[in-house]
Amino acid sequence: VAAVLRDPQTGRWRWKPTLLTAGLIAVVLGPLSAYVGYRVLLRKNPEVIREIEQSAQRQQELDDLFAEPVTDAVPNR
Amino acid sequence: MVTFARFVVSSLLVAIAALWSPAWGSPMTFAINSTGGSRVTFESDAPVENIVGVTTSVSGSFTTDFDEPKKSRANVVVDLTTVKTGIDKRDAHMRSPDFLDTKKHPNATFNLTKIDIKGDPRANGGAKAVGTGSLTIKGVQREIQVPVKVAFRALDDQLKKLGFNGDVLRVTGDFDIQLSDYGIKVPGMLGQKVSNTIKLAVALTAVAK
Repeated sequence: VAAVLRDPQTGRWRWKPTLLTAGLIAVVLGPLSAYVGYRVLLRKNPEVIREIEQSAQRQQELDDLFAEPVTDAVPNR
Repeated sequence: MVTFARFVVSSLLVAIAALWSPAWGSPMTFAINSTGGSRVTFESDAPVENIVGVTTSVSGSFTTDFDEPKKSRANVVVDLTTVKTGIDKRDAHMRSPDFLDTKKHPNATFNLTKIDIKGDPRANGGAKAVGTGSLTIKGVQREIQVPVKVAFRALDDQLKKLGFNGDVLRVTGDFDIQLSDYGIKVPGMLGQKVSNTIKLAVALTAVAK
């Protein structure tokens, strides 16, 4: 912040790079780029997530069915 | 007299046929249904991240005699190349030589050698059992004990609705394994994100052959 100054003579804003500026950029952009990289690298695949959910639902149906009382307990062969 | 002889002979034939019928206590074989009826879940609960991998690509068979369930045998093959966590990059790393090395060892297998079963799987709610057998992962074989619930259901309208065409044997259970037991080192890259203890949840659905 301190590096962006208004020139009192010309009244223009001017950029004055300082160590502080570099530090601020590093502090802000460093974690931000790391976060973006992490999100890109570990992007979830919605199709796979759907498959996993569907298989869980199928298992729930089977669990429910096998928890029900069985009416015909004789092997049907 | 001839009629009586015919009656006796035909009765004997019927009796012999009945004795040979598989309904009289002979073993039944069930093929594990890999089309959505079976599922194996691997869960790593590490301090940094909880990872759940799932596959429905399970094959194999169960052979059991309900009158002598202790003679039951099973062979289960889990296709590790199909385990998915929902994040493609992570899946690729999981299959790499650093971790499961699925190019060399695509399957995990379990062979049941002994079962201690309490109750009848045909009863409501099934029966509890402890299976002992060898689990092979990444080429390393170890004997483990697996607590499971075994339930049988004869083919009925409910099963037909779910797409089954025969009697069904369902085996479910949860147990832990240690990655280090199978020569798998938690890779440095994943570091704290993968635990050495993996919780396995197994739900196997097998249809009578």
